[in-house]
Amino acid sequence: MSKQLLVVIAIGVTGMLFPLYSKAELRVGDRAPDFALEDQNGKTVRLSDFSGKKTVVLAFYIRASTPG
Amino acid sequence: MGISIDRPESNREFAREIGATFPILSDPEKATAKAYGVLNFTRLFANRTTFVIDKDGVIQHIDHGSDATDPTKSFGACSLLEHKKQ
Repeated sequence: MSKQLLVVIAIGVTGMLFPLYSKAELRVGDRAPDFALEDQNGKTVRLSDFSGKKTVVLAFYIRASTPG
Repeated sequence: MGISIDRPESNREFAREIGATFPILSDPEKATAKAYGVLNFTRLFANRTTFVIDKDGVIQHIDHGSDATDPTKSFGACSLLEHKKQ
């Protein structure tokens, strides 16, 4: 395989991956994005439900029922 | 609250298994994982990350990866926030 072809492939792959990384990570001091998601009891929970009421600990975990 | 990109049915089962007394949220569309910048590049799961969000909706503490398996720092951040309001 020629070097030029490898470079073209590398640029293509980088281009495909870039959008996945382009979202800036949130930092301390940033406003937490609101959400409306279903809980285990079928109830819709919004972050804004807790506004002015409670501190929220939001823990993203890998997948349900996995050791991760 | 716990959150993953699993469907609600999977999380219902998971919540039962662990006896969760707090909300376990489902984000099957992955929009929230994306908005928080934690969707893994494989898009198959969210990276393990814990956010402590104060009453004004501002992020006060973040634990990434293996740090997020130990809740000590997040509890510490909550405790500080509770003291702040008094």
